[in-house]
Amino acid sequence: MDLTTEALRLGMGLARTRAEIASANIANVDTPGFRAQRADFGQALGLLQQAAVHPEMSGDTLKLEGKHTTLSTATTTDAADVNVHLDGEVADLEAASTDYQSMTAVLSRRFSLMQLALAGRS
Amino acid sequence: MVDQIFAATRYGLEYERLRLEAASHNIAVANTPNDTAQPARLMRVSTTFLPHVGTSASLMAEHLPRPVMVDAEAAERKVHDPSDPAADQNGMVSYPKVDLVQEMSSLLDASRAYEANVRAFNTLRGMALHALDLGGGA
Repeated sequence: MDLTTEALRLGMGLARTRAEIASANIANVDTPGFRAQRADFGQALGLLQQAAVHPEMSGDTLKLEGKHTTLSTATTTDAADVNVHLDGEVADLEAASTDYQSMTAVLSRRFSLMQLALAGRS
Repeated sequence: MVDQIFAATRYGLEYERLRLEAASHNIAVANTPNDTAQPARLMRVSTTFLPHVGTSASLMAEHLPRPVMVDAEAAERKVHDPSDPAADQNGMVSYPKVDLVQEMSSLLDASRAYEANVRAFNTLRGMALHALDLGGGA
């Protein structure tokens, strides 16, 4: 697939992981002894930035990297503040969901354009 | 796959519901005299937290910890009332010692957390539906 589609796919994966981690944190908000989980997207974000700067880059690089490396490493926080903040987690979840929906909308539009090109008429 | 997304939320819903039930049970029995032979018992919810997302043992339905409601021995509150049929030979009636403030705050806490879990479920469901809808607008 082309670069844009791959970048969108990667971005949707990131948004999904963010939402999953937020929902796991929400589920455990009252469990004694639970340490909040955070996602680290450093590698994937670097790839996406690279893709934005070099549009001639092949989409396969995103695909391969996304497959081989851990696309997101979820870590438990070592910081002093290990408590789960319910409001923050809900906000994080909603933000991830909004990101995801906007990316599905863009991807949908791209597919519609491809279909239009195939059919040759609207 | 879809089941895994919702596993954490379902666990959260079950845990919070049990906490609600335990707190309301404790409040309900606060003024019920104990059986003289039996020690006072109050409900608690016991669980371990979920494995973290992304670990190898994560979120397989059969490995999920399940919260359970257990009854724990509680302190007693003695009231002098010889006319009560539940009184012992000294005329003392024993009630379970319920910390109403703690029970009420855990009731509210659990109810808020339950709402947050419902919201998380709805949001994740919306995301899944949007993904299913990909390309459908053509």
